[in-house]
Amino acid sequence: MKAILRLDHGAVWRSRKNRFLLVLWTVIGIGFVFAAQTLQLGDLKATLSRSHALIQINAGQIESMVVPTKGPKRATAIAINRQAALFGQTYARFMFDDEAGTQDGLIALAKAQVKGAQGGYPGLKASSLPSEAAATRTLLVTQWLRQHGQPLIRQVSDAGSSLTQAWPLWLALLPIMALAIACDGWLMMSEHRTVTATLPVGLGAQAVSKVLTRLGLTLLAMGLSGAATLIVGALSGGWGHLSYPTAVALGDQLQILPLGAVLGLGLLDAVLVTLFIASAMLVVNVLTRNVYLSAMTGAAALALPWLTPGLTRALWWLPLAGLAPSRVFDGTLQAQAGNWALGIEGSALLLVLWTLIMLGWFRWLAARQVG
Amino acid sequence: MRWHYYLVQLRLLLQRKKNLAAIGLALIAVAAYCFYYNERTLPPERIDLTTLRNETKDTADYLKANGDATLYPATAGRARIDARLLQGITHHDREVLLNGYTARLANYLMGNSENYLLPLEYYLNPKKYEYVDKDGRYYINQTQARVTYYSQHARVPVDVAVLNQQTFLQTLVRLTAAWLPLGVLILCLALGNDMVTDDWQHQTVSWGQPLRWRTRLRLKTLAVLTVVALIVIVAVGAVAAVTLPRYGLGRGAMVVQHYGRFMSTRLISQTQYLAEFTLLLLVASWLMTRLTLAIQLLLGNEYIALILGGVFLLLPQAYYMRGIGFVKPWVTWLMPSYTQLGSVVSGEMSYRYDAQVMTTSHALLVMGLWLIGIELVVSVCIARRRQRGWLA
Repeated sequence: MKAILRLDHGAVWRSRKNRFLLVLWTVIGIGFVFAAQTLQLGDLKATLSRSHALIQINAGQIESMVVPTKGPKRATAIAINRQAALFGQTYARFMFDDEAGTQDGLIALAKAQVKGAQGGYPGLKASSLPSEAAATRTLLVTQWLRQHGQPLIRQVSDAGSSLTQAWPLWLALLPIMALAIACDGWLMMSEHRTVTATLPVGLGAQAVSKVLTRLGLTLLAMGLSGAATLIVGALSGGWGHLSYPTAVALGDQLQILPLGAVLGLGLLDAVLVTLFIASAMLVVNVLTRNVYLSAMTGAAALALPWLTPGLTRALWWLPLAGLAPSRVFDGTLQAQAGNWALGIEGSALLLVLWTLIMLGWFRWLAARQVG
Repeated sequence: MRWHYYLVQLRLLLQRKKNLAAIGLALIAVAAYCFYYNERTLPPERIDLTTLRNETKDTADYLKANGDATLYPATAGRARIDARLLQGITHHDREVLLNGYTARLANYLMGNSENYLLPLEYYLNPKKYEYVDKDGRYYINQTQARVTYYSQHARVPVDVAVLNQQTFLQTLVRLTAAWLPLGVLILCLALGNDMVTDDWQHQTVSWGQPLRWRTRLRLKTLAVLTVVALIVIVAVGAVAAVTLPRYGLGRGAMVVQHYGRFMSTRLISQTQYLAEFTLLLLVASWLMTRLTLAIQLLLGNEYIALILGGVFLLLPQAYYMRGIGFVKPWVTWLMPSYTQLGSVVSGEMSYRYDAQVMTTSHALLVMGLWLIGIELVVSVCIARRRQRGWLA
């Protein structure tokens, strides 16, 4: 077992593609702070004006129809008008540097938006106002800050604010990274069948060794890119607020955790996601016998929870939710559906189960192919 | 020898599973455009005959039920416009149709705060129409420029399809704005990413051939571009098959070009647009293929070439924001800013980047500079590899 691990470790490290991916991910980690500053991610003023533009667009949409004097459509028009009024109050306080007032205004606005999203805005053809999950996140974070008397992040300027903006992207890119590293897991072996047949190790052990070596590399890449963001952020403006409140979907509802704990949870989830993707790729490798076809199949599977969230919610017992960790963490897939399996723990458990199923399937398939 | 080498490269290219999958996906994309996205990417201010008939009937009923049309001047005005449009369409009366459509566009553009309505789609797509009022005016202004031209030039045939940009040439213009060039560049990348590295698995064969490396790379590039060109021809043929019999050719319908700082527009002929676009497409696809070959020579790995080329095409995601060209003018010197080639020709890119400089000639200049850089890398790599005895 030790020998096969060493063999796989060498193969993974000698691959130029994998070394390149490590460099690329570190560069993304370094460049994130600069890109975030260019794109004004996490810039409170820009966020507020985007929010204003969305309220205006939706108000314009409902004004462009004939709004009846009563009924649900009228209620929607009133709700959007109320949001516009609340936004105006918030923005005025923000411009006068009234931190507590801004937070109070944001809380009231987020409450109105949660209520509106729950009602579904009847009469709007397609609402681009914040979803229930997004509004709830703003609400929880601002309420926590208000209670503890701490300020909102104004812009990406230090390590804490960089990581606050970086973790969703980091989690969204994680499955792609795992796929890129693991997509040729079994192909090296299936091209040398005589070697595979003569190795004095069972197929199951070989599979475990392949998966573990890929896991190590993925974790290294994710760690490097996270550390790069942390260091670049710290160099540009100190450590900042490293335990900034962050809302994540624990169980069946959104809860506040400090930023550091979210990053730790993300790393744990990264282990499970990589284990699942690496073992699933072994199966796909055996079936397609081609790197590109395997990667394409994997990419199609990764796209599913992003393109069809409804399907993912309906088929919650598949590991689809787990393949979009950023959407599980921020509660978008959960969407207050109250399904425990779409939260962080539930999707993690499902990933473990499906990893075992994939390993078993692989063992059966590969044994049939070799024998 | 060269012809033979070219044919062999073409055959090798068409034998790889990856390339077949890429071509298959490209054909699926073409079918998806023809039968799904084409109808859904028409301008929001288009004339929809069914909606128009229903609206005409609704407003007529409303006015009849409420007695006096003078009490509802806005509704009565809209009813008059709709009736005129409908009459123009059903009687094939060019003059009446153009008058009605001009009135409708004016209604969109001249709305006051009480009666302020753009077509609904402008409000539904905040990603595309970030500033609804400004963007709505921009696009409706362009349609109006076309309509004004039609009413001044009686020889241009006009029907609803021409106004809605549904005819063959106009569909081609809409397709070439962004999706066709992006698809072509992705295909160049996907087909070309193992052209060089594949040779290194057959060293004995490739060493024996009496061809210079520059010639081989040129023939490889041509082989990739041949396949891509065939797919483009298939795409254009499919669009023609879907649109020509139903909507006609759309000759003389003109393309609106945006130039300068704000809402200044002029009309260019479709021939000029397509010629400029084709020139840009040739240069850009040549550049993309050479880039993938250069990465393979430099870093020696097909996967790295694929990933790095993909990163190159996705680069605008890291810096593009509305009006970024005005704030940070250096983005106009990055080649990935110009991947939506048709939008560069029609000036839409310069509108979105807020950079006057982003014209066809500037795009050619930028691509030329990048191409010189890439060719330098290729030459240096070949010289270095030959010096070390890695290449024949």
